[in-house]
Amino acid sequence: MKDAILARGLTKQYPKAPKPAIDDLNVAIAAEEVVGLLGPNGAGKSTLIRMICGVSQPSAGSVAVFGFDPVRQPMAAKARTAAMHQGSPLDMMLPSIECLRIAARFRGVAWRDVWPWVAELTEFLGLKDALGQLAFQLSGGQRQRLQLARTLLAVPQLLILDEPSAALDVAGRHMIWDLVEWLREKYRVTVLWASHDIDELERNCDRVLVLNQGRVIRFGRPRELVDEFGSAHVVVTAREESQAAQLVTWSGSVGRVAERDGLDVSVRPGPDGDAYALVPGLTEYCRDAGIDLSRISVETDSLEDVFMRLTQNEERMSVQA
Amino acid sequence: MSRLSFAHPPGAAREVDPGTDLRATILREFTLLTRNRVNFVLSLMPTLVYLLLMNTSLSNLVHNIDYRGTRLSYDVFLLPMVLMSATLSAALVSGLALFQEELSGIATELWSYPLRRSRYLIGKITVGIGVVLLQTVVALVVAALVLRVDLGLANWAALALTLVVTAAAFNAMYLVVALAIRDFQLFNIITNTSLPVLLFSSPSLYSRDDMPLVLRWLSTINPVTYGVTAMRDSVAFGLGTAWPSLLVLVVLAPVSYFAASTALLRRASGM
Repeated sequence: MKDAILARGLTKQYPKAPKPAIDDLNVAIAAEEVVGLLGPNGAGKSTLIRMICGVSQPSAGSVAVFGFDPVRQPMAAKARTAAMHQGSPLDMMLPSIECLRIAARFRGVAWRDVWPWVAELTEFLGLKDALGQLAFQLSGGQRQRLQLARTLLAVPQLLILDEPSAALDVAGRHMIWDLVEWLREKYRVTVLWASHDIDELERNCDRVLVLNQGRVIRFGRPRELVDEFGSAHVVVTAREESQAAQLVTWSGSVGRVAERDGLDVSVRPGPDGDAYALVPGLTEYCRDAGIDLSRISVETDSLEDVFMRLTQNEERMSVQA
Repeated sequence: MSRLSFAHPPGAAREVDPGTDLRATILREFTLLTRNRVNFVLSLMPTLVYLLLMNTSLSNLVHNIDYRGTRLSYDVFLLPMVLMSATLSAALVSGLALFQEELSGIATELWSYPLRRSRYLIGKITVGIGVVLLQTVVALVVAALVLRVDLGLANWAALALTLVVTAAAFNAMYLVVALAIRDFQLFNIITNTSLPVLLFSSPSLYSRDDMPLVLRWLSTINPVTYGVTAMRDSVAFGLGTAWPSLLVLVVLAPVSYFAASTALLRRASGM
């Protein structure tokens, strides 16, 4: 089966920028995969998306969408791709329905053929009554939903979502998740999903591509990333801040790394250490020191913890270099 | 297992037929113009103001003028200036729209569609010409009703042809400027300053022989000169006399179009 996205040595250097926005990126995304794109602001996520969409030209290297180059074979590549870009780019002075009608024309879809689907989709998205309103009169969430409707006028082979749930309430986020699940099951759509919401990616994606400073830091299944880079640690909650501070000092004195967040103290075992083995010593110290704990538990890092650690390591290394 | 089910599910995306992108661009430009009533009114206002206020007042002051050995009513003499100013305004709006598309992020959306850059430019220029022709129809109706403009069918036909070529050339030229300049403020300054300079350093209000020497030199390299002259010759004498000026614009239009295409590609590489 052809790769949905294949990037080889992909680089984007903006004029006058000190560093490339995307730096020698090599990645293959299989058809029918749902891949999360994760990275801090300025990591290069949107630049990568723009190159895949054929909006922006690579400075070096290449990218192919189902085997088609978005720059050299734009009609073939773009016919297979639909993107929901960041920031709800809409013709603000047009009624919502006209925004959809124009997009349908660009996609080569006859309005009368697509209208029953548009009616059903906009009803599902809670937009039906807003179709006559000018785009600028819509709320941020409504614009986001209108943009999603515009993206799904026809089923693409590759669906690109750039921060789709920004400005959406919980119900709106679930609508997107449900729609993606439906598209995936019914049409086997490949999805590239950029988000700052790590929970959203962990929940919906097969694999996550972690970008920082234009480079791939890791590309793997969320669980694998957590297993590889996450660790278990003991979390205790003291009843007073002075006791939490006392616990941090003690942890340092016995060679453990501890982080404090208010009354919560997280104590990590050393490399290859066992978090559960820390518990007896910790409780014994608390008893002897008269520290009253309201909670003690062993927790595993989330994907968010792993992401923070990966990007911080990368930044530290780049500062040292 | 998905909980969703739709009675009218969408069809699969497919490669679009040739011409779809051009038709879609024209539809979008046309919809933007007609649905946005502010733009629509603004596109017609300068023509009407020039015709009803400036043209009538000046024609009362200067009744007739000698032009190429013929005594011409000043109403008729000024009509090309009015149409040229409308053409320049429409071209300026096209250029401004490019910046608005980039600033609002619409450009990113548009270039994600199966849209060829050449068709995007042709679509924009086509609607630009449409706007100018609409302004012309309004101008001609007003001119026939209010002013002493009484021309034959051949002259109107020659004027319409000249306007199409002029509008194509100037729309493309302003698109080149908009694409070559990345700074919106600089574009605003250059275009708003250049518009009156171009108009009044051409034989728009006066014949070329009445212009000061320096302005006369300047008018030779000013493309507006050829637009105004071609229109005036079309109105006064017909295509037989207008063709040399028209030829300059016929050459200028495709040159500007190719320059705009190149600038658009260069702009895309920096996006």
